[in-house]
Amino acid sequence: MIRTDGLSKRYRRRYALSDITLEIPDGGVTALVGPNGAGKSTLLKLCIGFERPTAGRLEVNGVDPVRLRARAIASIGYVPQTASLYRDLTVLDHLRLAGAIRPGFDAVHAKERLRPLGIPITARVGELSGGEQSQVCLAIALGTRAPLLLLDEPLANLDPLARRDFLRVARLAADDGTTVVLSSHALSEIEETADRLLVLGEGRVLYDDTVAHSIASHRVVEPGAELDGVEVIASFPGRADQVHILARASAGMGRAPTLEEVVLGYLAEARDMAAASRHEETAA
Amino acid sequence: MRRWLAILRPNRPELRAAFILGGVMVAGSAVVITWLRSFDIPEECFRGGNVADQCRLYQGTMFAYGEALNTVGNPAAIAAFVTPIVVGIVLGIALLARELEQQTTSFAWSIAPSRGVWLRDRIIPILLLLLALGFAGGWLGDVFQSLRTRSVDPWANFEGMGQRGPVIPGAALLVFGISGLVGGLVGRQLPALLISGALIGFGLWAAFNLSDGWIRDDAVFGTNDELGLGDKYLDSVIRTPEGKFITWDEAYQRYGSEVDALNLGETGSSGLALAMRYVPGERYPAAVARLSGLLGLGGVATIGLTFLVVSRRRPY
Repeated sequence: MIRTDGLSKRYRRRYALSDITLEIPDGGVTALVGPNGAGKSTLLKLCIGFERPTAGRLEVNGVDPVRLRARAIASIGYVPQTASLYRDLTVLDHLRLAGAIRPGFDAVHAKERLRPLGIPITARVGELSGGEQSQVCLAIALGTRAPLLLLDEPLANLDPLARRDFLRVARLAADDGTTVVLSSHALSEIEETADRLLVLGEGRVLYDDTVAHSIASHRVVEPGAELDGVEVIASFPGRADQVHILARASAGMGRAPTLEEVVLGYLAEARDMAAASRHEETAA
Repeated sequence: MRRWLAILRPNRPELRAAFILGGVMVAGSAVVITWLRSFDIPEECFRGGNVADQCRLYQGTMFAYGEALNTVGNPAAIAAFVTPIVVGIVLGIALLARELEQQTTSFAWSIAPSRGVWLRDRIIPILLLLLALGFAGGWLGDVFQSLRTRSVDPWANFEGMGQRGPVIPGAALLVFGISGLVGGLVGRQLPALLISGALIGFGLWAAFNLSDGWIRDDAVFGTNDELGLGDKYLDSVIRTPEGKFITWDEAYQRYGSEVDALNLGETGSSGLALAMRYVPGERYPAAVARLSGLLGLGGVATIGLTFLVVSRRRPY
């Protein structure tokens, strides 16, 4: 479980995360989504102890990763945004290295994850495609047998097929009881994989709910529709110059949204609120 | 053993280069030393002073020996001194600067629960190799020194101090420590190399200056006859008729131009004599132990700071 209380992280003058309080429960796949600079990577880097919070508290599986980093890392498998493997080493070298520096590393489990993907373990990492390198990172993270898997935008550089493979492996891990936190922009693809949705924007949590409830509790309506008594979240751009409105409603109007539309609606709401706030400041 | 090999696998190119360089250094030096020792010259001919008549027969061989020493022996001695230093820089830069530059630390530090253990496990075998190379280079330097001044024990001889003996592993340790620390702070190879080079130069200069100051504290006064081959000459002084040793400035103030008439090894009519301030060769082991200890301590301190940097910095 990841729990934060008033967590903030500032880089020079800019806050990447501002006073965030959230809880990611054990089990399943939590999708961490938001625009660039929303603080998704920062949150994951704070969890693994790569960054230190500016303020607030953070607990990963009950452990503060700043004070007890070793204990926190021992419960985390991490896949960074860009595959940070040794280009001149083979996949097997990496598995051996992981086995040497991580107590309890399960190389057999990692190899089993790689075998169906046809990635030769004797190949040098530099010879593998970006997708294969990400799969190697994921296999090693799974080999740690950690109860929590943090995947930092691993789909960014993958082709559609590689994305599918990657998400399938992540889903299998979650089905085996691992808690998976996945930050990504690929909303349409994670809809099938994620159980929970956490939208970050403007350095804060914009939305947090299960995927199923997110879709069930919202409707997409067209401009001009009757909206009396309905909580309108925001209007957001659709395809081909269309504008849609995301509203909080269970059924009976419009149509059910996709996960992407829920996210777009809340991001648009945050953008509108920020614009209004700036307007008020200017007027004052 | 397999664990160490796996941990050191990312550094295999540098370690392989270190083994090759070390092997070439030892084998090359062994060949040169064997060759220099094969010159058939009686030991007494190296003692200087009034050489025995038989030594005149070896003048040609001694000239050839001197030539061999200059053209091959000295470069080999320099190689024995330089190799551990170069290997220390290369391994120090590869330890962290390259890892951080290529962001492989993101992988390693997300896998290893303790960064300190990760660094320790990599540093220990590298240090063992570096110290072995340093001691080998230092020992070879002593052997070359004994071939250069054959009548003096290299451990009672200040000539070549700092370029041989245990100073070499001490310097290698300092060089490795500085380049590792700078690499950890800067996180880029080329800037780390340049900054390390400057800091290493300064560190060695400071250590040698400090050591020179300590050596001066061991100085004694004596006449030219008392100054041995292995002693470290510091400066000349004047011995007064009362047996006191004073500087040239003091002597001019007291005795005027009388001082200019003094010749080496003679006592003037007024009782003044030229004398020397020097450090006896038997003080060499203590002096070299202090210098080596200072360098080694600097190395250990910088390595300690590297652990601190690794525990606190970002892996990118």
